[in-house]
Amino acid sequence: MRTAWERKERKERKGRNERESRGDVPGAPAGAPRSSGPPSSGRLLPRRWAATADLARAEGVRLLRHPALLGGLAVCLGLWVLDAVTSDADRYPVLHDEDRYAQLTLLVLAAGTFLAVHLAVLRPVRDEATDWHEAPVLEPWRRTAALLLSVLPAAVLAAVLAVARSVYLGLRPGAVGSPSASELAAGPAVVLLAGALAVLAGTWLRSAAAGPIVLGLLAIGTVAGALSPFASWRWWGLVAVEDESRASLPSELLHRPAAPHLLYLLCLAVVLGALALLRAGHRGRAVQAVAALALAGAVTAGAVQLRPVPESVNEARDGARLAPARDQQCTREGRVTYCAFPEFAERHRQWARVADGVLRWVPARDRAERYFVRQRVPGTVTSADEVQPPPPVDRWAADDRRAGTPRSVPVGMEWGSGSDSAHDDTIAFAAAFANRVTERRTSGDSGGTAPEPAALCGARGIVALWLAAQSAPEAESGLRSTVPRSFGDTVEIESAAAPGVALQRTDVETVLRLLDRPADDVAAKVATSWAELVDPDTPSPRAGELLGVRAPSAPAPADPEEAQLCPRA
Amino acid sequence: MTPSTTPPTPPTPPLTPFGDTVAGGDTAAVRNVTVRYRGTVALNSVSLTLSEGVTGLLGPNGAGKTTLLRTLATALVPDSGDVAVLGRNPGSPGRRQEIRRNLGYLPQSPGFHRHFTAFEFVDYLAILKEITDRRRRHDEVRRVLAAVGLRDERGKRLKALSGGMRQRVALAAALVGDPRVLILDEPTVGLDPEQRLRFRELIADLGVGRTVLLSTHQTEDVAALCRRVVVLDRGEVRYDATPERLSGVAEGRVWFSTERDPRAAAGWRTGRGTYRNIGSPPEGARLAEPSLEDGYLLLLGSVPEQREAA
Repeated sequence: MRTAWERKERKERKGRNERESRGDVPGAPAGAPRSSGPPSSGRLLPRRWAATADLARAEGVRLLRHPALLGGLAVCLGLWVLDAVTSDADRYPVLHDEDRYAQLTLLVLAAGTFLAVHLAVLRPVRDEATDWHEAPVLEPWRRTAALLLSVLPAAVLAAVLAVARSVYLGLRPGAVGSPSASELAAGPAVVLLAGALAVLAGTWLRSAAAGPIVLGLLAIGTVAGALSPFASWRWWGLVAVEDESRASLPSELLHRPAAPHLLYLLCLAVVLGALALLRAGHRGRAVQAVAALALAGAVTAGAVQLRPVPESVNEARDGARLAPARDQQCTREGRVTYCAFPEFAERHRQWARVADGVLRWVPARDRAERYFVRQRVPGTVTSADEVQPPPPVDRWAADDRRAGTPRSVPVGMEWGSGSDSAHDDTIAFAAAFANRVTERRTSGDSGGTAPEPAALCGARGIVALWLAAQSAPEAESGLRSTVPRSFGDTVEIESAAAPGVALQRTDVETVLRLLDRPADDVAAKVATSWAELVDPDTPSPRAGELLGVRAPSAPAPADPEEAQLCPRA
Repeated sequence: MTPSTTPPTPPTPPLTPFGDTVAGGDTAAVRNVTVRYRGTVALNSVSLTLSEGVTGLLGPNGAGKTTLLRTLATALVPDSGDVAVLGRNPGSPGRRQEIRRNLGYLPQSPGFHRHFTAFEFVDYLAILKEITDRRRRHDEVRRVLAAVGLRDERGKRLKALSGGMRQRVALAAALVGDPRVLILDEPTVGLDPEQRLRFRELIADLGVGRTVLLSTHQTEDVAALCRRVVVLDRGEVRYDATPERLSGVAEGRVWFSTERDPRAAAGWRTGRGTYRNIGSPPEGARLAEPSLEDGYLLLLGSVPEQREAA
């Protein structure tokens, strides 16, 4: 808000400039210095900046205590706590994914900051206290500057939250990867941008109702950008976070323009802040220059972030998908060799726990000399919107042969289960591994993963699924949550990385009955009748007899296609 | 009605060049100041000088009092004329800041940031006044709050304070920084008699060594506090002299009667049942001691109609 004197001076300046441009001011020396910047004696400048800093501090403290910001903070923390309680994502986080997912949550804090700052800008108007601001010693633009600076504590708070969450996730035993500083800084930058926009909006539209309206428009724009069919558009928005259901990748394959996006956000914040200062009466050329430079920076960074993914990265992604062996490192634990992308190497501990759980009840004589587990990147890595192609199982088999890890069991990039996920990674891996363990070994068998979900039929299916489900508590819970999600007479245990396994529902029910019994009892019967149980020709009812449970009889197939799952069962 | 004699307005000293003070020890002056609001003349070529002590500013609603005060407080730019405060011309941004630093302005019926405590509010305005040493500023805020009798209420939110207390907070805000010029626009509005008395004491103290311009409708306050009174009417200075002289305008023109005297310009029944009349008394009338208000009413020549005392 300009004071009366400033409005007059602005008017006079404008008139003078117009007259000068028309050449109506005789005697005005051509090179005469013109007033630029806030006028003051040099002696006063430090005091004015100190006053601006004092005001910024006072406003910053009020901002941090404002209900809108505290509400945003509470929602942020609440969402994260909810996530930790209800989802496995927090137990096995991929840190170079979680860094950008945090930005989404911090949007709530940014919204709270926007509302709080906007109300602070309009405080004199809302409280009908403009009289106090009509003749201030501190120039009005300095109050605007102070309000802009007051956003910094909120941005620092956002940074602390982002870092704290990253540290918390990083300390989880199942954490892999490492966060990107640019991604972590984007959330605080959005808070800064929201604050600058609030100051500008409050300086321009002197109505408290304008805040929620601007915020609503911003929210609509953000959602529209996120839902846009053009993936690159989302980078023009505040956050550019892909669908969380997209598979994790090694960080070097992400190729997210996080740094240019951060620069883009910061430049936008500077542009908005400079516009607010100019609007508030600052007439320094320096601010105009900064605004122009920041605008150029925003446009440049905005353009840079839209550059297409380099061909080398696309090739690397294809390599990771089709033939990952050369990029992975392997760790042997007991009979099992686990191969993973280096950032995910620690995951082998979680895989080994399940694999050991499966192998525990397999008679020693019937265990293979070696098993291989290889991490697989799912079908598409370029966009969550694209249709996932079938897994390149032939290429995988060839890659395994080259690497000396034949018939490796695929395991995905994620681990754990999520209530919102369509699949459960633990039971999927356990079932795939149990499938491999219960296979009859034939010499020269060079097969690998099938392109379609493998049908686990008859007694072998029952014993394999029981081995998988009892391998770890979360595997059993994964199975129990999978069953209701399957329709018809077939239960599919899907995997994000590869085709999963499919069983007849009646066989799964038999397994669930077995799981209700003491594992030692069932294991003893499995060990006794191992050869017959894993024989593909042994039907399900026979498995029931051998394991001491009544196997439900298979219903007459209603769908001819489903009947083909286990034709001999 | 026109007063028989209108004391001449003291000659306005030259406003330029300005020294530390305006000539003759005056600390603020306006010369030929005219302010218009959308064609309506609020101040019409007003000239006035202010010096140390309390000066009262009287005038009916719409007389231009607030406009004059805002002009002197550098909150308003005159359409024409010159303004000087503490020897400085507010037309220069740097000088204007210096004026504001040494000037306390209490606006008329100001709003408050209701969620602030009294301390926070005054502290906030002290920051706007560029008092940057935090400890000194906090001491100053405590001092002014104590001066207006709010030492114990400084931690209370403004929305929890009574109207009178808030008015005291406003005065405290105007006092921050120990300004040499104080401009108070109806500071006693909404105060009970006891609070008004405390205000008088405070303002009387403030008038020592400072220039205080007090705009009010309370003629008793002016009579009690001011060594000089200025009456504004329709944007022009109608009177500028001592309160005693303004009372003297009504000398011999106030009388009592048992019935309302039709010859009186104004008259009202007092609590004792007699009528107090002002105007031209009849022969042999029982004259009364004139008050400042009588002089003011006679000066303006218009008397509010609703003066019938209860």
